[in-house]
Amino acid sequence: MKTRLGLSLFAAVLIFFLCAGYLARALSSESPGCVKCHTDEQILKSLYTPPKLGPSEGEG
Amino acid sequence: MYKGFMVDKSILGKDIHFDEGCGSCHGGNEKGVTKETAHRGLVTRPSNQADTCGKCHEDIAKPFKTSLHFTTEGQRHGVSGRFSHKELKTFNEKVFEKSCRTCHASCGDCHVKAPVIGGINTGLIRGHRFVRKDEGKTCALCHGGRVYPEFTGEYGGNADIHYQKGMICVDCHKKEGFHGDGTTILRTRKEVKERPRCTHCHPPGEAKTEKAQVAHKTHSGKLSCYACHAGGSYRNCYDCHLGKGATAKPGFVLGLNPRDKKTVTTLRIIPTVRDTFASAGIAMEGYDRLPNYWDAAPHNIKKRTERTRSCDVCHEEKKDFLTKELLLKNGSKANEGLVYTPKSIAK
Ligand code: HEC
Ligand code: HEC
Ligand code: HEC
Ligand code: HEC
Ligand code: HEC
Ligand code: HEC
Ligand code: HEC
Ligand code: HEC
Repeated sequence: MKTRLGLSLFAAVLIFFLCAGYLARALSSESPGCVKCHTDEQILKSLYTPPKLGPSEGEG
Repeated sequence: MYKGFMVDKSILGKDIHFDEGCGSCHGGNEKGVTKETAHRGLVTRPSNQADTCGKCHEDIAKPFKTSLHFTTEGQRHGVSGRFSHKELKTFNEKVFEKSCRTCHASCGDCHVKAPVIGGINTGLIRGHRFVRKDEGKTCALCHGGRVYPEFTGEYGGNADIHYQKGMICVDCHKKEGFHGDGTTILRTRKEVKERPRCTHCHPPGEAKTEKAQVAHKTHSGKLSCYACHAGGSYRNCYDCHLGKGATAKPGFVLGLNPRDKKTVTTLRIIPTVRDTFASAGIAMEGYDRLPNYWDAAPHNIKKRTERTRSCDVCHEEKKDFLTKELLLKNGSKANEGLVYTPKSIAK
């Protein structure tokens, strides 16, 4: 029992650190959110909403 | 198109502009995982605040605040002569910031992404590179009502000789003019010191043929280069009403330059009419102080035009010269001062 609990605790901690490490790396690298979507054609295509056209004047 | 929002991966990590992350210019929430959460607090046009770039380009961002592209002061100056003091105040409060100022250029409009015109956003110029210039995607959009299509021949007729020779906007218009000099807030394009002039590149007396030499010498100080070398009709705009825009028609008019009342040049009808600002409660008490025609710089230059071919087109036929009869109906009284008839030179 004891060892098993110890083991699962170890596993949990290990998993936690692995994840945290991943998260930290992800966050420290240059803005994962922005870069991920803005460099991926498929993602961007799916998120794109065409603009509504309104009146406007140019300078000429 | 979504493609206009694609950032070229290969420049990240290489271009110093991205070293501090997207958020350093765009704000937003870099930890957001959905579009909505990531875009919370997003600044879509960061260089509208020139200081964003001024962190590193202070030498440009500071003087930029005095440039015409930033202030659009030219538009205010152009009409303010028609206003009383009180009307100017109303104009400043109700019209200028909401209407004229909205088409001012940000740094990014010339260096990062194509400006939005008529609701159409074509997006980043080259995958978010910070380009020195790309006239077809920058100048062309804001100046697409007349200058750019005139220059490239898209309105019909031949393209400007300079375009045919491979020149484009920034070969004549220099950055100093766009970035401003920082000393005084410019009011008109004539105050731009570095503005291009034909004679910078074509000094008097350098024409190869006798014909050109004579034509040039005889008219020095009397005629602008455009009067003979403008290749044909250029755009004139009529009947502008606040919020509704104006109507454009091609035309060609010769008369006195309203700025000096001595040189004959190509004139362009400007669209300010008596009730342009009526909806804002501005009657323009001084409407008649300024004319409805201003000196034009048509970007459709040619070496040979009907006017370089024949002296008679002007001196005998007096073709396209502004006459009292041709003046705009219900136009400004100041228009009359621009009417001009050349003398006959027939022996
Ligand atoms: C972190 C500092 C920094 C910021 C902020 C910054 N720049 Fe730059 N920029 C530079 C440096 C350094 C260079 C010169 C790079 C080189 O010589 O390759 C440069 C070069 C440029 C160039 C010339 C590119 C070329 O190919 O010659 C342009 C255009 C430019 N920046 C525009 C902008 C604009 C517009 C902004 C604001 C949105 C901006 N920059 C903000 C540091 C910055
Ligand atoms: C109306 C267009 C326009 C606007 C607005 C504009 N620029 Fe420029 N900029 C130019 C042109 C044209 C050049 C010169 C390109 C060339 O000759 O290769 C230039 C050159 C540059 C360069 C290259 C370095 C240099 O001095 O030649 C930088 C950096 C730059 N601009 C930054 C800015 C910043 C920052 C702003 C806003 C504060 C800004 N620009 C606004 C047109 C513009
Ligand atoms: C975001 C729209 C926009 C862009 C992009 C833009 N312009 Fe302009 N431009 C204007 C407006 C608006 C004015 C009128 C400003 C005023 O005087 O009120 C103007 C004025 C001018 C003038 C006359 C005033 C001056 O500064 O000499 C020239 C020349 C000019 N633009 C050339 C260019 C060129 C060349 C480019 C590309 C490098 C360019 N513009 C890019 C909107 C733009
Ligand atoms: C140095 C400042 C700077 C940084 C850093 C920067 N941008 Fe930009 N971004 C701009 C400017 C300038 C514009 C054009 C808008 C304007 O005129 O201000 C722009 C425009 C955009 C646009 C087009 C927006 C639209 O409405 O069409 C997208 C998308 C974009 N940026 C994404 C990114 C992403 C993703 C990153 C990080 C990889 C990033 N930007 C980093 C300055 C920056
Ligand atoms: C061969 C040189 C040359 C080229 C190329 C050129 N211009 Fe000009 N441009 C001039 C001259 C000269 C003037 C008149 C300057 C003055 O005295 O005000 C002028 C004036 C202007 C004006 C202000 C007058 C007006 O009609 O509003 C704008 C805007 C302008 N140019 C935009 C552009 C754009 C955009 C391009 C590129 C399509 C361009 N120019 C290409 C020489 C040139
Ligand atoms: C920045 C320099 C520059 C400016 C400013 C400029 N030009 Fe030119 N122009 C040139 C060049 C370069 C050529 C091509 C010369 C060649 O190929 O022989 C040219 C060609 C011409 C030609 C045809 C000459 C020929 O022999 O075929 C005419 C006409 C002309 N320009 C008139 C003008 C007028 C009018 C203006 C003012 C609106 C003007 N240019 C402004 C540089 C300039
Ligand atoms: C009275 C009309 C007239 C005016 C005004 C005028 N030109 Fe010309 N220009 C001519 C004629 C005629 C020619 C010769 C055309 C031919 O060869 O068929 C010519 C030829 C030229 C050429 C080609 C020269 C060559 O060596 O073949 C250039 C460049 C030029 N003009 C520039 C200018 C500039 C710059 C101005 C203003 C300072 C100007 N012109 C004003 C009539 C005029
Ligand atoms: C674009 C129209 C135009 C063209 C083409 C033109 N001229 Fe002129 N010319 C004028 C104007 C305007 C004046 C100013 C004095 C006037 O009203 O006659 C003038 C002045 C003159 C003068 C001086 C008259 C004086 O008393 O001051 C002479 C001589 C002359 N032109 C001869 C010619 C010859 C020869 C040609 C053909 C090579 C020619 N012009 C082509 C418009 C033109």
